[in-house]
Amino acid sequence: MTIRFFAYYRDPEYTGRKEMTMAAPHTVRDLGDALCSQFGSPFAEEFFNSGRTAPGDRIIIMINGRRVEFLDGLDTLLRESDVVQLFPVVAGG
Amino acid sequence: MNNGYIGRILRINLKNGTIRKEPLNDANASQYVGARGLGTKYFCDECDPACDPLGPGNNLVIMTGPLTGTAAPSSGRYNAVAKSPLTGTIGAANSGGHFGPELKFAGYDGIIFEDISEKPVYLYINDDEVELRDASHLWGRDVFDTTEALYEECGSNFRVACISAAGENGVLFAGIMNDKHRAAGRGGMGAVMGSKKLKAIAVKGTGSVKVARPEAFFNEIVEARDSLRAHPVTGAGLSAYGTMILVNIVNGVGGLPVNNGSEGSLFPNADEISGETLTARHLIRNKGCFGCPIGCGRLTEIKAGAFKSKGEGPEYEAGWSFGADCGIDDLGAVCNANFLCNQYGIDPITMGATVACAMELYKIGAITEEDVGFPLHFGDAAAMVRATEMTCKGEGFGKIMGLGSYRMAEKYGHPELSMSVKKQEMPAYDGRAIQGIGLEYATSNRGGCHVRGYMISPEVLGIPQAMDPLTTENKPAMLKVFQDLTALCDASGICLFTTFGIGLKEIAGMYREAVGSDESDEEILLKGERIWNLEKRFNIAAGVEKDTLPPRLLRETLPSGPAKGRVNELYTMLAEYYAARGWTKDGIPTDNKLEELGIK
Ligand code: SF4
Repeated sequence: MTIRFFAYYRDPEYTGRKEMTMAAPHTVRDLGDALCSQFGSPFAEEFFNSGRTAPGDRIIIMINGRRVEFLDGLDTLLRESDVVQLFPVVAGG
Repeated sequence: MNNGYIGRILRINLKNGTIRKEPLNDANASQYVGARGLGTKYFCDECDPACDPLGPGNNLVIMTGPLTGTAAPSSGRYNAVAKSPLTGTIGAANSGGHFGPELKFAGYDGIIFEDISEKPVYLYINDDEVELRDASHLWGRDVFDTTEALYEECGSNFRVACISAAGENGVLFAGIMNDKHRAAGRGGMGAVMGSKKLKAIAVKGTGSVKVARPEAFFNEIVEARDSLRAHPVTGAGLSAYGTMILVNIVNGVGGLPVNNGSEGSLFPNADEISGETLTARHLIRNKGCFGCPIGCGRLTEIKAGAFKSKGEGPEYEAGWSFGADCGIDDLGAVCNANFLCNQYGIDPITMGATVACAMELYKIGAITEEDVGFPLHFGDAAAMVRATEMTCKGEGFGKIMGLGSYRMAEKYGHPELSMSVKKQEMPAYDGRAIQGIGLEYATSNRGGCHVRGYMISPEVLGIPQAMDPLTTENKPAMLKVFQDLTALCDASGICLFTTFGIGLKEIAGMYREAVGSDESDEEILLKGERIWNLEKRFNIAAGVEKDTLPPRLLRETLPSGPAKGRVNELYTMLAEYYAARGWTKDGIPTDNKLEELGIK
């Protein structure tokens, strides 16, 4: 599956990447664990909320353009063909 | 006065050259707050809704708010209010920079311009000294040139708001530019100014703005500034990337219209025109408006190539209109077109969307190379910049584009290809992929507009809480609250972008202590609703068409992306929206509602 990073998640201290591919983990939670262990802090503080029940306050996680909140949250199942997009909370207008 | 207001306005009759200083109408200020609200109240009390927008009966009201020029965060705002020549609706355009505060420092809450001058003039304000001066030597000159000339003539410490030849020549979406790069951009307020032969306002003041309860006001400000600093968007995100950061996320939800919306709303090369790319390649430094801790503005430069240029922006909307909407992924061309809009003082949203519409007319053969003067294909960056420049300068086909996309598309037999509401172009979010913003476009009191009730906040950005962009549930009620709060925020004189980090509690708190009121948050929010209803009442009296969307959004399904197969469900939401507003099922404010709000 493809994972895309945006805004300051692309900075070297976070992931240093725009895009990467990996074999699809089972769920979004598993994906979070894999990315947090690969990139460590400060990215690792972003992905989950404190109880690991939902995404953290500062991240938007989209699977194929849909926020995981509107799918099955962290339990959303992943497929190889999925595109995951990770945005820090941003705004404009 | 010690209540956020100066207590005095200027009334300028351009026909006979009279300048009057009159007391501010306190009762109206208390009901309609200031800026967009109070400006609209003055306007509606004095002008016939049927007036010709470019005729003598259309007053131009420049109005600040009670927080403008205070220590409240991002308090550099003023509004220009008149009947819009583009839409025929009430036109109220909001701008930042330093001009609004300077007007208050000079001793005036606002200026009302009446009638039409015989020859070009500019208004000179140096505290109590106010004069109409000849502007024949400035007529025809662009915004930068005019501003520089006035710095030289009046002093480099003056603040200047002006128009260019585009406003003089009646480009229907010409704006008023202040501090060179800041725009009261939408709805053609610059064309109204041009019709009055009013080239500029140059102002300098040495006074200050006093508030009613300084200590309590200070505490409210500290709280608001702390909240802005703590919020990831207003504390870091907006200043780091500017508004262009939205390109990828809006494209991410499949809501970034491509090729005039004819090819859906997923742009494959969105990253090329994104805030990330702009920051990495072209950013020189950030710029902010008066008293703003956010500082979202940017000074950018295209260092080489065909589009070599330097200036401010682009903002997200312009990034889209000149980018994805024209099928263009060349950020240099996008910046260049945007810089032209600043230099000539025209609205880049309508400009880009009008070029996109012309490109679609060209594609279907409704216009040809003979009409335009050159081929105008989607994706042709050089043609897009050329078309923009022609419009700015009023040359050839640019004269037709200067009427906006609706009048242009109608002339060539295809009004349905204008992506506009009430003849003003919708901005950079597809209402088929993001349902609530479609309802906002349809119901906005100044035609296609996002900043009257920014539903992108909950629907895409998750602020203050996430709402599913694909559903219609709860959107009408939410939009009503957003629209009322936005009207209050605009009227107070602070920047709408603060509302990413603060809400009613903070805005009402600052307002209360500035003006010395003991009204509750709810009573203060009601002023926003009052403003909204007053605007709507004007539009109905002016005979503005019904709330709807272009047929493309209602009938053509999106071909791809997360919203594939969708249209905007406007008519599911509209009845509920009118009910939430307490209006008739046809969207007309009832007598009861107007009475309840004290609108006379
Ligand atoms: S947030 Fe941006 S537009 Fe608003 S006042 Fe600050 S710098 Fe100006």
